[in-house]
Amino acid sequence: MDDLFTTFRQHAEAAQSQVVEVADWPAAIAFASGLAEKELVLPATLAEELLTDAGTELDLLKFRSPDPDDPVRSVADAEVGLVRGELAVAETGSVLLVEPNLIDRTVSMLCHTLVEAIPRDRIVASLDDCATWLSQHTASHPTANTYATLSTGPSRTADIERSLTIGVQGPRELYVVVVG
Amino acid sequence: MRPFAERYRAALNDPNVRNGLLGFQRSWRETRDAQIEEAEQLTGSSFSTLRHNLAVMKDAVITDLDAHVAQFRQQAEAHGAIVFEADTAEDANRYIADLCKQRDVKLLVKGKSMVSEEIELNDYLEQEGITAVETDLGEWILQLAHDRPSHLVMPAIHQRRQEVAKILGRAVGQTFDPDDIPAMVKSARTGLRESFLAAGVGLTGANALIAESGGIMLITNEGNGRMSSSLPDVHVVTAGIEKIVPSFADAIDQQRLLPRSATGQPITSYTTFISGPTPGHELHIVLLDNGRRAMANDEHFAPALRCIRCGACANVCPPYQIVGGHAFGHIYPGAIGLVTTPFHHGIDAIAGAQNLCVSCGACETVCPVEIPLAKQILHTRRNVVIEKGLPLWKRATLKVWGSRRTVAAGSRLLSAASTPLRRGDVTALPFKTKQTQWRTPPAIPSQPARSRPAQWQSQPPIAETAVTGRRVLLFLQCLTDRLLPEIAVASAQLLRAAGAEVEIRDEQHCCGLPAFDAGDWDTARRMARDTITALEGVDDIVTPAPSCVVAMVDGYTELFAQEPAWRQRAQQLAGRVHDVAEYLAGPARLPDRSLSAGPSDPITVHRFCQSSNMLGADDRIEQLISELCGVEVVPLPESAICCGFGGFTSIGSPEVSEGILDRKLTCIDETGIATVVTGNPGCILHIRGGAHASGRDLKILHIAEYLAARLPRDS
Repeated sequence: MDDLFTTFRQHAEAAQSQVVEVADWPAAIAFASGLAEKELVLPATLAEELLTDAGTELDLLKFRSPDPDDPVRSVADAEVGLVRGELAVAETGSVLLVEPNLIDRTVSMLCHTLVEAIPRDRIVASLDDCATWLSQHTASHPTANTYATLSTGPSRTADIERSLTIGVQGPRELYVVVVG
Repeated sequence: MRPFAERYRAALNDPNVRNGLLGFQRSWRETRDAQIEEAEQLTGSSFSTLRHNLAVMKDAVITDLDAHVAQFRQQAEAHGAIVFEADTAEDANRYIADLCKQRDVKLLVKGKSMVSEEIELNDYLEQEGITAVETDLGEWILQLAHDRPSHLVMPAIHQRRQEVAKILGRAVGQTFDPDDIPAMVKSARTGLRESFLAAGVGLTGANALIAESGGIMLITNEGNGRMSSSLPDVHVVTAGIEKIVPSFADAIDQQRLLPRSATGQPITSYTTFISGPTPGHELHIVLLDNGRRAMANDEHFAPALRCIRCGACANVCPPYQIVGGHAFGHIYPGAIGLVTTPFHHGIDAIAGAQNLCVSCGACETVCPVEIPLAKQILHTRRNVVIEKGLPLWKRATLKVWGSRRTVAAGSRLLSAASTPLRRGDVTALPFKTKQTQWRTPPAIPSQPARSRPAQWQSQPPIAETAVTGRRVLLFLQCLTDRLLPEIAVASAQLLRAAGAEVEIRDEQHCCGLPAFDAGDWDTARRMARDTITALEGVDDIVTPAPSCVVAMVDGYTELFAQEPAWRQRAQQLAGRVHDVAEYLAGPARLPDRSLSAGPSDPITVHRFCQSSNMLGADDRIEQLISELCGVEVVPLPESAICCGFGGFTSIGSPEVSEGILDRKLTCIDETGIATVVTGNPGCILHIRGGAHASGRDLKILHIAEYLAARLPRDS
């Protein structure tokens, strides 16, 4: 497990992600809110889960979720977003975000700084494990849609004179918080 | 699109193109090589195994396209997508335009899609009153500048920052400091945000269509692909049918090589898997044929459908570096563009550009799906010749060169006529032409190699080797015979020093390579038959010209594909013919240090591109020199990159040839070494001429010449 984490961290950092270890979900949330001057944005589904499952006492006033009536504009250019990853891949330092609904996807897509939280036991060794997960997920959802992204580092471009520049349409800063 | 001649001229007149691409090719090579090595360690498999596996996977799809399309379609529909199979570009454009109209959509945002370039979707939509906005930064810059991509992955690689600052400045009403690239990049986020929010349709390409899920894999760095596929209510995917892979596992195998080959990244920022529409949205997948099924049914070109659009073939291509993708290609740039364009846009669209290929074979060495690009480009060239005929000057040259007697008489005549102009190795012409001002023509000796057996017959054996007592037939090669006879003499002396008996035959002339390379396969076949006949009956054939070995081994297989009897004879020849350096490093290997007497000045080695890229020779010449002579070999940067001779390219497109030669000479300058040893006569004529014309005092020697000059002499 530690080996997987070390490999994950090495590759994530090579992709310019910042990797942080925390003990539990409240600490993950505290870390993410610490990054935000004003507010933290997180998908409603995650907020609910954290309230019920994680035993976390969330002060909902400090958080905001996308508005179901306008999920895009309500979080466009939000300062900091927090999402939960399904898997983390040690081979590439990637986090697999599974976001079939637009309202969940806007957070990871539009905010300037993104925090991807991933339970330590969800780190897998290779992209092959990720392919297996995707196969099983699709087979068990034969008619539903899938929208899954291996997110690796902040958004970037080298389109102007090959000069690597961080932060284009997607987040400019990416933190991966490993929980547990 | 403008005619080829105009695009070619424009590229030559813009030094930014070649300068920018030179830097790009060099830095790409470094990062790509490091990443491929990482993939090898990661998987425990070599690059050749990894790419072979990928090719096998893609071939299984290509050979049964219809079944895979059906499976993809069935899965896509099960997940709620609408699949449209477009036979032609018009069908695809019509479908997308109609869809926009039905949904009352006037604005469409686009992620990067080469297929949309192929079908010229933006122009089509514009005529229908629909605005398409490119959201990939490079594509957006080009759209604002009314320009086109010149590279598959780095579309705006030909644009300089100063230009980009102006283009973006006009678009967003801001003044940019050309050195502040982050500020320019930032403007894309603000400049495109409203388009994302207002667009009714988002269009993307697909890096793979996954039959298992009926979904796509989309690889991007900027995050615009996710936004284009998410924010508008309708997502349209355009992709060629050859993009299908059977499973997620196959898509992942492709992902391991694609970004590494494209941008030198192990993975891009976003690798997105989409199947079925987002709830409340629509997903339309336009599967494009546009010549692909015809390609799948063509034995020579079917492997080109394996292409995963990484652009690696352009990133190592010497002519591409000089003129960029607007001239070297059509809509699809680079080597792959030379072979796929006839199927999508007709043979006329590529007739000019395909002449720029120097047949160095570098593209094949980095292709992550093993596409035999060099061979396919020669087939394209042949098809162009069948369709449009050869230019008169090429026809005349091949006609003259095709006859041994004419060449013999002609070279005698030219030798006599040019004697007053001879300056050492070269002929200093009193006038300048486009072909000779940067490369002085060679001196024409009065006596061909075939008249000089006396010069080698006195050479005694100096050691016992595996060829002691063996009869070896020396294939002189036409250029060597007539223009560089001292190389043939040196080769024969070395063979004798190794104990072999050297035989030459009068019937030998030219192997047919010039005609084969020019696309005139009828002439090439005639010359190949003569050569095969002239060289039969001896176990070992050795030649100082590895270019002819490539022609006999690879070229003859193509030439005699339909003639089993000749093919068999060609195969027998291929098994017996050796380049002299290979032979000297193999059975005719002289003992270590046996040639250590002589000058000990360090030398550098230019590796003949085809030897490296097609015959798998690596440091053979370097090893021979250091082991036999004990002389230091200073590494030549980019040693195996072509010198630019490229057969007819140096005559037909001299500017390209000159540019590549200049890259080579500059690398030689960097070593500070004045003696360059190499393995192929064509390179020698070319580099010698270039060194003379540019006033460089360089000695360019064939490996046989270098070694033979060090043979012990009788006192």
